[in-house]
Amino acid sequence: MSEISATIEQTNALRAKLGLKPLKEGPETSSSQIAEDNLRRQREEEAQKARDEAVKRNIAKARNKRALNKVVAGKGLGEASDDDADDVYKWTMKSRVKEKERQAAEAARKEKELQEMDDAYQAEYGEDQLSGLRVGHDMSDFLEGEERILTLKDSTILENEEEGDELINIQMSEQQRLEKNLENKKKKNRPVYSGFDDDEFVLGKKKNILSQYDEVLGTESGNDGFVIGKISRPQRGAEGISGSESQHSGGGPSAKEIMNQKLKESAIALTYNKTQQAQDYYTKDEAEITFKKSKKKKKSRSRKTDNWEEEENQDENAMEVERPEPVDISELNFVDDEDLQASLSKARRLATKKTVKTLTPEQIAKNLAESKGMEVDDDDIQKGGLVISDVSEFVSNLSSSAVQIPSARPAQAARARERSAEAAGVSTPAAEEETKEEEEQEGVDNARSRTRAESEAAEDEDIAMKESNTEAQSSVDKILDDEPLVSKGMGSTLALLKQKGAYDAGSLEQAERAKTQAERAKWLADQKLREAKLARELLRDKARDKEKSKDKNYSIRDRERDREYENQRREQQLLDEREARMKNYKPDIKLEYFDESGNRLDTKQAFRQLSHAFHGKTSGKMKTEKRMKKLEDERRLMGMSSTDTPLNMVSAFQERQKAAGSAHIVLATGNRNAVPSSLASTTIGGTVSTTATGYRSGTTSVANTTTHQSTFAAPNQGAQPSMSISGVHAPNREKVTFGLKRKADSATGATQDESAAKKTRSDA
Amino acid sequence: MIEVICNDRLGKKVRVKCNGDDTVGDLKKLIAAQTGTNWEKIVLKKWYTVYKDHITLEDYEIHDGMNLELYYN
Repeated sequence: MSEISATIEQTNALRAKLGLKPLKEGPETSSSQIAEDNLRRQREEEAQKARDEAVKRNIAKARNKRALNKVVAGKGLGEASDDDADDVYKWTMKSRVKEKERQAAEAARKEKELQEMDDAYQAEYGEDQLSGLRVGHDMSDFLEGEERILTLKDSTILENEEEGDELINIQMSEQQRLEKNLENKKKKNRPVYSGFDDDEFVLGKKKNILSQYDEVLGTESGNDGFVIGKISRPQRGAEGISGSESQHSGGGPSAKEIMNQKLKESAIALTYNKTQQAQDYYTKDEAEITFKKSKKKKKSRSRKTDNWEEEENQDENAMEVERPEPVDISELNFVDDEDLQASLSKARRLATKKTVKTLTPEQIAKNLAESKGMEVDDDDIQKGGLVISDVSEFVSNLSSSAVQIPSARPAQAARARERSAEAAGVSTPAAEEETKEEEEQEGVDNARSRTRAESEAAEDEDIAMKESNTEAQSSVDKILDDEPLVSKGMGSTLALLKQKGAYDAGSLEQAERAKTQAERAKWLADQKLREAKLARELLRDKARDKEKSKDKNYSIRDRERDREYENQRREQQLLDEREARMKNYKPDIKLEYFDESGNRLDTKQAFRQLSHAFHGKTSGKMKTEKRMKKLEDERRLMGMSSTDTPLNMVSAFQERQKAAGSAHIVLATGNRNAVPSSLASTTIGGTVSTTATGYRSGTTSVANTTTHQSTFAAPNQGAQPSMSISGVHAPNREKVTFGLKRKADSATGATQDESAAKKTRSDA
Repeated sequence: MIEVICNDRLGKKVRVKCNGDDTVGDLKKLIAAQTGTNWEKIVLKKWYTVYKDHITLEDYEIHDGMNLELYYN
């Protein structure tokens, strides 16, 4: 397929025919293209603009940065310390210098200002303007060549109206006031009232009442000043009045000059260290300012005590008439209770006097005699009875714990001895007296417990004595033992019983227990004794305290101290005693358990009971029954006769013997090998016991019967081996195997035998 | 000047030179002259759009070298 096409000329010709305008030459340029062009141009322009802006901004930024850098340049806070200002000292110095400079500048400025002002004033304020002003000081107070600054005196308006302006120097007026004050003080220290009535005559005039207060502090009297304008006149007048000086001044200017010279030579430099201004920071040198410690004045109180000692010494040396010491009023302040001290010293003096006086030779002799008498008393005490004296009490107090225990024991031993004597029916009146005394001595004791303890102890003692006696005797003649007579007493009776075996002294354990019980009883008694003694001591101490407190010189503090000490001592003593007592404290304790029916339980059973109670459950039916049965059996066993078998065989035999009227029993007769029928009912077949003596127990009887049977039945039983039951007859059985033919005729005997054997077994 | 190719897919394919501001009717007359058919029987289509005679090529956005479907009625 070919494409139909026409050239431009052909097309143009055609177009002409059709009435159309000819073809346009060149490429097509549309409005959109123009628009695009416009857009492109616009964009380019904008881009250019943006670029310019950026450049401008950059430039501005750079400029800013430079400016900033210029501000920040130098040292920062952190960097600054690394450099020259690393030292606080340097920094301080620098700041100081700065401050100084600043101040200097300020001062200069101010000075300049002031100077200007002064100049301005000076121009209009001259000497003549001061004339007519009054000066508050005497002319003589001002020295030549001295410069004083005078200021207007403080005064109220009314005063000012009255007196007019007055010039004073503050320093000078201050000094005047100080002098006045000092003078006043001096006056005041002097006693106002002399005690004499002759003031009128001495001083020539009568004083007003309380005249010392007439001059009031701070009022300046007789202060005559001068007026500046009239300098020449009062000066001259003053010089004229005052004696020698006026003469000198009057003498000529040369003398005055000499005086001036002198004064200048002796002049004192009035320069002083200018007051240091307070600074926030000081250098090291400046900081080393030390403070002086103010010295404290010590008050001396020693003088008074010395006085006392002197007093005492005097008293001891020469007991003369008491004269009152001259009392220094100034020292009175130091001791507040003079009266008390005086009375105390008096009491001391009296005490010393007394002791000295009592020790005369006669007195000594008397003392000796007394002491001897006391010794005699002691002997008496040893002979019979116990006497409580001061000495004995003192000794017991010294070491009560050591003394008391041994003292208690012998007493008891003695008591026991005495009791035994009583038991033997040989009580002595002396012993009785002794016991009475003892009883009196321990008045506070619990009588019942003591007596019980005593009796127990006595019994113990008795038994021991008897035992030892019997032992000794038995060692002498063992073969023929003398029987202790009942008539001799309880002890001998007991011994007899023991010898016969009717009374068992008890096992070792029981003896031990008895011993411990006795010990306990003894211990209790001892404790009672001790308590009573302590109570007694307490009472006595209290009484003594009361006695002491009546003494006037026995101060409250002393009493307190003593009481405290006493209490401490008593407590310590008590503790010691208790410890000693508890050393071999062995309480007698035995734990036993019983069930609800009163049977004693062993450990295991007791535990079971406890466990059941704890867990709230009991054993099952079977177990309980078993236990009950066991208990029953036990009881039966206990209730069983010791002279018979459980089935009362012995008594049966005895009855049989009685019935038969013979001393023996025949269990089997003749060749028939059987017990007669009349006997069979009562005798236990096959067993023979010919002995008249009863068997002790069932078991022994069984053993006997079996042996009898074996010996007795051996020849005949050989015929029935199959019937024989007991394993003891093994040889018989062999016999049986050989002799079978005799089986028939021995049948009856065999049956008899068998039944007998059975019965024996059941018995066993 | 633009060149427009018209194909009837029956054996006639015409390449016509014309101006952008010519109407569709003018184009039809030129095609008719070249192919020897009646211009009133010619229908110019592009897909389902039938070009109308009184509207210029520019307005239909017919550019240089475009293919137009040529139908007859």
